[in-house]
This record gives sequence, structure tokens and C-alpha cells, in this order.
Amino acid sequence: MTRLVSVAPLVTLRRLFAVLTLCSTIRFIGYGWVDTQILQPNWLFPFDGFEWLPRPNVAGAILLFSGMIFGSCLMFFDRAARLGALIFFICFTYVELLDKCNYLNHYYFVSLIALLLVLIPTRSDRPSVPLFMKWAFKGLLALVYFYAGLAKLHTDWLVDALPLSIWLPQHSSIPVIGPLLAERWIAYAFSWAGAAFDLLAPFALFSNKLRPWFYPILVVFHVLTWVLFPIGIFPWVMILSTTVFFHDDWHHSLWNRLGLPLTRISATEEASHARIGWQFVVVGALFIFQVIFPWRHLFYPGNLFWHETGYRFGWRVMLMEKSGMATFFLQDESGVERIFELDTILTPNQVKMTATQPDLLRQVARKIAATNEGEERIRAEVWVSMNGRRSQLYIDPFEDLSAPVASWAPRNYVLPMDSVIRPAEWDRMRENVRDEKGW
Amino acid sequence: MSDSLITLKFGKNWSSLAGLQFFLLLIVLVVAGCNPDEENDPGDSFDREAFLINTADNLIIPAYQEAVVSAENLCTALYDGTLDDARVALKECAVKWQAVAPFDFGPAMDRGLLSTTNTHPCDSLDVDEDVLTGNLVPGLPSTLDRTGLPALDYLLHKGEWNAERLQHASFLANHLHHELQAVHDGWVEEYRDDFVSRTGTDIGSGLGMMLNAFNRTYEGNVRKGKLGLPAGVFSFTGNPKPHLTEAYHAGDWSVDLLYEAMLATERIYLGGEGVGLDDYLQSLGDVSYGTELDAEIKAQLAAAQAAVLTLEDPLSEYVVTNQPAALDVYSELQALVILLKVDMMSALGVLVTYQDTDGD
Repeated sequence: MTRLVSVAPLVTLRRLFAVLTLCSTIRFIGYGWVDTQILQPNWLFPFDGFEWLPRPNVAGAILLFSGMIFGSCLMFFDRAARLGALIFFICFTYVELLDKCNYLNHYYFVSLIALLLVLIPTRSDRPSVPLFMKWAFKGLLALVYFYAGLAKLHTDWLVDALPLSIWLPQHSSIPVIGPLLAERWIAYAFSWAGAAFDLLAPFALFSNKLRPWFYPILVVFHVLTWVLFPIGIFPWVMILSTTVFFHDDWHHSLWNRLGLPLTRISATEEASHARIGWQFVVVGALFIFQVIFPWRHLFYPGNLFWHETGYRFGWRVMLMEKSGMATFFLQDESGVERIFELDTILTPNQVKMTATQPDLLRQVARKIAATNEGEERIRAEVWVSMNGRRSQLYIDPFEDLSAPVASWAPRNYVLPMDSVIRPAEWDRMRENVRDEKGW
Repeated sequence: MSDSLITLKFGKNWSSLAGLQFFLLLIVLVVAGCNPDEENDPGDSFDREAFLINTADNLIIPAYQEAVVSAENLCTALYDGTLDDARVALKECAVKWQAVAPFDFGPAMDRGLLSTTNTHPCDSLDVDEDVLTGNLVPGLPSTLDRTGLPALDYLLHKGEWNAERLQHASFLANHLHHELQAVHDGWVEEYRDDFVSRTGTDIGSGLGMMLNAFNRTYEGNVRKGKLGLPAGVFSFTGNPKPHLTEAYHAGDWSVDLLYEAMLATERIYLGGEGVGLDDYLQSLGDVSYGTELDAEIKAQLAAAQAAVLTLEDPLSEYVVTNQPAALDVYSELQALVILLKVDMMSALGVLVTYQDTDGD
């Protein structure tokens, strides 16, 4: 673990990552998302424990995004790399923490890589690093693939080829392969191959024998996902960062060709060991956390995809087609109810996200309660359709959502997925349940 | 640790990558080329371009043509007909308006057609003032509630009919005609080809824009605007708000307009006689989100239409005297929202995003 190895793969990783974060930041700004995702929304829904983060105004947003650009640029250069990574990490993570509605696994991944680049020195003029530092990156990548693969091992994905059966036929107008994508068996083939790919990726990437064969498949796989799904820069992050698994010589020849040759590690260095320092402890702790944290959903019974307790930060990528519609009802002291229309105050993206995520439904309700004094209770009738199932009632429609609840508490107000209540049925039941629940 | 294939030479490495990728591409091409049955398989591809062409040529453009003609007729009736002629022409125009309302994107959205031609209720005091001063500048955010169909509804049905009113009504009718004509021309001259060419799957695709507008207008303008608001579904007290009824002053055709809007909703879903959303869902095959959903949407369209027919004009009185019955009808309209917005959108998958962001 402490044996010294060449820093070359990490230099490549850092430089490619810097280019990627720079492009990604410019893309984010260019699409006008700073405005639509951060400045325009009336409300933001920060992650639990980060509600105190001041919401940036225009000047703040300019500062944060300049920070990302500046950090990315610094990251490219050896001497400023860790400072650049730190600036980028802080600005980027700050923005991600502002609103759960913007959560993406690949943003989380970018934050983690940036954090590792803060902790781990990757200067090209210091040609050796302890082995564990290289393994920190490889381990994280392997973990992402493997956990993404494990998440696919469930009946919707394997037995019903969902959601790919829904998603793939939408691309039937693509030239050549289009008609094929409409075939049911293709959805099965993609589902099984996708799961196998993710589960095998760590082993194939670590294996010198398999890597040359596997990497082209990896490129094809990610490019295909980039063509078929709106997943932004994620495919490119994975394609570029998995070069860290390549042999040192590949990295040296790459930088030779680009006119930026790296110092080679000396034979004496290669035979020696580094001392175990604070970095070993911190990086090790971070990795162990990464291994354990995605399993927290085991504490919550029921279908994880349905109640989503412990769903985020677990590398569950592109696994479900879930859409919903929430109608909030505000009840005042006299018992009169009125509808609160979400689309008058939330952005379209927030409306979409909140309708299928129970913790967001509660956060919305608390915001409504905080801005509408005199309202006694807030409830919501929410309809959700997941992976091609017909829409059904999602949460207890007579749960007071404005009551504060710990974010880690089991979400008992989410109705079990197998208790299917359809709209017509609910119309007949509503008043009885209302009396029963004392609304 | 040496690994000859992946490492030694940068160039060699990449040429081997290119070779394998070419090989994979070749497999895909061959398999695609050998694919024999593209016609009859239920899980088969849906021709989005045919869908867009049908929607543009057989639904959207004819709807605008008819709306323009009805507005012309209204102008003519005001010019050389009786007040009753004008009222009949106004109703016809309001009916035709329902068929264009769901297409609130492209030229219609650019001109703000829905809000300039049908923001109800109108501010009758302002309209009276405009009759006197003749200073109205239509199309401004501040004058939305003194133009279009609601202002004409007021002028033609309330107060003393006189030369000043006639003149102002003609002015408003001309403006209405002008707006409809402009949107129609926008479609015919330029936008139609653009729309039809956007066969993609993103938010700016023809289908994406059309479905967004379809759902938004059904939910907002039809379900809420024509029944929900007057019936008191959205009010603080839960009391009905009769003055929010569409065509409030005419009184006896509010339900007709709601029914027309339901017919337009159905027509768009079915694609008229051509390729519609029903074919899209059917093309997904014999699954819960395919043919089963299609059948349920059709049943709910029928149920909602039947429910609307139980309402009686004047709707503004009905929502007061029969509020529970009106709320039952509202439930039927709401059930259709759930089917269209949740089930149908879910079945169409990543196709339609309401805002342009990445997903995962």
C-alpha cells in the first residue's frame, strides 16, 4: 500500500479532469443553467444539514462559477493543482448542495474526484506516489461501476427490461440502429449486457490481460449511453478517468506526444516505501465510507426505488422511469381546504423532481407552511408511475407534511408499492378516509 | 506489469481501439441490415415524422384556418349584421378558438395568443372606459383583460348597444382576427416545416413542445380555467366564483365551450383520422403502458365528455346551485390530467422533459 509507484497515471487523470470540469462549467453556464437552476427559482431545497448555506445572489453565482473555472485552470498546472482542486471542490460542491432537485450521481462523482485531488499530490515533477494514492482513484472508479451493476440486479431491470423497454424505442428514428431499438429483445439484451458490463468493469479494468479488450467496449458503451440518454458529461468523465488503469508507459508516451514529458520514476524509488501519513488515514476512511454508505437503504423496508430512502449517493444511475404529479392542499384553522399550485412557485424541473421524491414533498410542504401563516395542516395527493406501472397513490394523502421529521427516519407515510390505489378508487374512498383520519 | 497491447505505443494502442470499435459497429450494422420484420411487430418503431406531419397539416393548420375564418365572419357580422348575428358569430369564434388553444407553442406562444385573445374574466369597467376614450392599445400586459373574446362577450351582451360600442367591438374583433391570422401565417409560411423537421426527443422537439403545450393547456385552461376556478376548487374559502366562468356575460354557451375544448383534446389525442398519440401508445405493444393505457385514456376521455354534458348553462349559476355536481365533473377532468401527465408521459419515457437539464 505504501510502495512507491509512478505518478504518471494520476497526472493524466488530473489534467483530463481539469479539462473536463472546465468544459462542463462552461457548458453549464452556456446553457443558461446558472440562471434557471440557481438564480431564478423562488425556492431551493438544500441537502439535509446544509440549509444554512447562504443562497448566492448574482454576484455570488458569478463568484462560484468563476471559482470553478479558475480552479479547473489551476488544476491543470502541477504547482497549483491542489489549490485549484480545492477551489473547484468548494465552489462546485457548494452549488450542488443548494438544491436536491439538481442532484446527479455524476456531480457527486465529480465532487469526490476533486476532493481526492485536494488530498493527493499529483505533481509531475515528483515522479512517485505511494500505491494507495493511485488505488484511491482506481478503487472509487471500480466501486462506481460495481455498485451501479449491483443496483441493476432487480426484477424490473432483469425480468421486465424496464425502464429500457420504454426508453429505447423512443430512439427508433436514429439511422441504421433505430429500428432495432424498438425491438423488445434489444431492451433485454441492453439490460443484461449493461448489468454484466458494470459488474465486470472493475475486474476487467484491473486485469492487464482483459483491459485492452475491455476499454474499447467501455468507450462504445458510454458513447451509446451519451447518444441515447440525456446524461450530460457523465460518459466522458468515465471514458477519460478510466485511463488511470492504463500502464505507466501509456501515460508517458501520451505526454511525450503532447510535448509535456513526465519525469520517470527511478528504480531506487520504485523499490522503496513511503511512510504512512495522515493522507492514508483520510483517504482510507473516505473509501470505507464509500463502500458502506450506499447500503444504508437496508435499514428501510420496502422497495428502495419506490420510497427512495437512502437512494442518493449510491451510484443508482439511469435505473427508473418515474413520473408523478402532486397536488398540495392547505387547510386553515376552520378546516377549509384550498389547493396550492406548485407550478406557480417552483420551476418545471423542481415540480417534476418533488412529485416523485418523498423528502422533497416534505421540504416543499415546510416551505409552504413557512410562507403561508395561519395554515394549520398541509397534505398532498400524489400520483406516481414507476417503470411503466400505471399511476397509483404515492403517499398517505392525509399525512400532515408540514410536520418536521428527521430526514433519516423511515418514511412510513409512503404507501407500500403493492397497495395499488388508482384515481377512480381514491375518488370513492376520499371522504371516508378524511373522516377516519380526522381532517 | 508490462502489457504489450495496451501500453507500448500510443499509436498502436489507439489503432487497436479503432479496429475493435469498427468491428462492433460492423456487427450492429449487419444485425440492423438483417432485421426482417419492421412492419407488424407490436413493439415496432413509431414514425414520429408522420405523426408531426399529421398534427401540423391535419390538426393545427386547419384549426387556425377555421379560427381565422370565424374571426372574419365576426368582423363582417359586426360591420353589416344585426347584434344577434354578431352574437352568433362570436360564439362560433369562441368555439373555433378552443381547437387552437392546445397548440400554445411556436408562433402562438411568441405572440402570447392565448392571453391576448382569451384572458377571462375581462375587466368590464376598463372595457367601458375604452369604449369612451378609444385609447386602447391591445397586446400589452396591462390590457390583456380588456381585449379578445371576453371583452367582446361583455360588449355584445351587457349594457346598451350603441354606435360607440359597435365601433369598439369592431376594433376588438379586428385585433382578434389579426392575431389569429398572424399565428396562422407563422405556421403556414415558416414554422410548419421547422416543426415537422424536429423529429428528435428533446425538449425542443416537435413532439416535446406539442405535448408540453397540450398538457399545460388542458390542465390550466380547460380543467382549471373553465371549471375548476368557477367551481371554487382553487379558492380560499371553497366557495364558487361564478364570475370566472368563460363567456360569463353570454351565459348560455359556457358549457358548450368546455365541451368543445374536450372534443379538441380528444381530437389531438387521436390525431384526427391520422397518426396520433393513441397510435404512439399502441406502438409500445401489449403492456400496461401501451395498449392498456391507450384504452384507459380513451375511456376517460369519453367519461369526461359525458360528465361535461351533465353540466347546464348558465354555468355561472350551475356552479353555485349545484356545486357538488360541478365538483364531480371536475374530478373526471382531473382523472384525465393524471392519465395524460403521469401515465402517458411515463410511457413516453425520457422523451419529454419539462425543462432542459441532464438526468441520471
